[in-house]
Amino acid sequence: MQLIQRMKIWKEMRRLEQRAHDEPSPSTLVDLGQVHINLDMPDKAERVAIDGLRLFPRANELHQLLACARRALRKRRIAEIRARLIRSPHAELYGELTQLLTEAGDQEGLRRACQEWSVRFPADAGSWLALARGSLATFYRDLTAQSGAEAVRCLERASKLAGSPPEVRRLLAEVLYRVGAVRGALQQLATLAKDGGADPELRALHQHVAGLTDRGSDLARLLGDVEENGSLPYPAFSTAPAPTRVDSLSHIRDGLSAVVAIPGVEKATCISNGRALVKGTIKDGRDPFLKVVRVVAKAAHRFSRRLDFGMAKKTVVEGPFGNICICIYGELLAAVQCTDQADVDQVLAMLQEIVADTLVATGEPNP
Amino acid sequence: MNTLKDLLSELRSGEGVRGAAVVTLDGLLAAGDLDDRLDAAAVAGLASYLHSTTARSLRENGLGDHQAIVVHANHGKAICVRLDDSMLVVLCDQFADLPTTRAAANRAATRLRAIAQIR
Repeated sequence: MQLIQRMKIWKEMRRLEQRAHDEPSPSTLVDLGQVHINLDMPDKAERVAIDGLRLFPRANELHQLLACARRALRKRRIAEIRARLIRSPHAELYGELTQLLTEAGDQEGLRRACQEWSVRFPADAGSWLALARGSLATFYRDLTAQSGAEAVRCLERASKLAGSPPEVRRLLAEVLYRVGAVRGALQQLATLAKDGGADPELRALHQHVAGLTDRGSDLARLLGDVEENGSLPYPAFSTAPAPTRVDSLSHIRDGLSAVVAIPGVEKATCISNGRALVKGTIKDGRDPFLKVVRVVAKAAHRFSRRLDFGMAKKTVVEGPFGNICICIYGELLAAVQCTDQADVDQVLAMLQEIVADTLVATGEPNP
Repeated sequence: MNTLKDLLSELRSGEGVRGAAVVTLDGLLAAGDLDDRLDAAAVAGLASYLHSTTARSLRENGLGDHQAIVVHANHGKAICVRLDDSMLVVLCDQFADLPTTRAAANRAATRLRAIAQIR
């Protein structure tokens, strides 16, 4: 029965190959790729997806096929490496395995592999570095204090081992300055420069970090603040703003003027670092609307983070007062109070634009 | 389709909907149909927290009571619709079509209010 089924699949594959050759289309290529995957030939499926994407670069289904084929290839390679590690454990193989597990997002597998690696090769800093990379990826994605603390712990452990690669201190310095522990980061960079000489990139990074304000050395508090606020105080060096910053206030003013021009919009504000710019029928800083948006934004943020929904980006509160629409990213918040007549989707889109423009102007990462 | 559970199951069957629950204002779960990965007690507690914090702030500032809160987050969306002495909470993934889910939640809320009145 299995043989007959397999023959049928092969026949179908030949037919699809012919069709893909004569009249290529994303759906035909995906069908063909799927047959390859079913026959446990992910390498061929990957080839079909890559060739198909040359013809149809925007075909979403082909991108999905490519991702699926690569997942299957990764899985196969992980199984191969695991089998080889049983026969002859080797640090390099562990390195490749942990890299693949990180790409696959398999945190549990990564933890187990690193544990095994450090037991078999206790003097090798690679296991701690691999574990730190996994935790850092989680931290930069979810901004959870626990993953940040875990990453720092692993990097510190790796840095204490002889012959640890320079990447360890560089990653440690980066995570420290991004959470606000600037002094700690400068110490790591100074040690790195002393150990291996200062390359131009390291000098530029040192210069960048030296220009930031230190927020203290209590890492638990700093990581807690990051989790609470849902944003890192400083962006990555690669995305850091140029020294000459564009004045973002004009962007905000223009954006708020545009949003209050929407029929039904009564009040609009943009709050950044505790300072509020306002438009519409707002008398002063004690306006109830301003107080409510701050409270609701914080509550929505906590609600979604604790539900594992990540950062709350947009919140709408509906009531007899109309709608209060809030768009937030980190410490930057744009909000509107409008009547039921206002188009809420349009309002939210404009608020998002104000936030994005301001982030670009101030050099923060874009939501 | 007139029992609480039926209504929640109907809501839950919507595309991208990960769970629907009726929660008392003080954070107790009255009924729920939730994805395995969602902790019912946590959902109830968090929805109550969001509701009470928002309601208190609105009242203190003389804006009255809210009827609904909609939250769009990176990995999901939440709709909390106020019933009389409870609320309907609908949780969806980030790809769910919000207007469709919102309309279904509003319909369910109307029916839930009717059920509460009959009882």
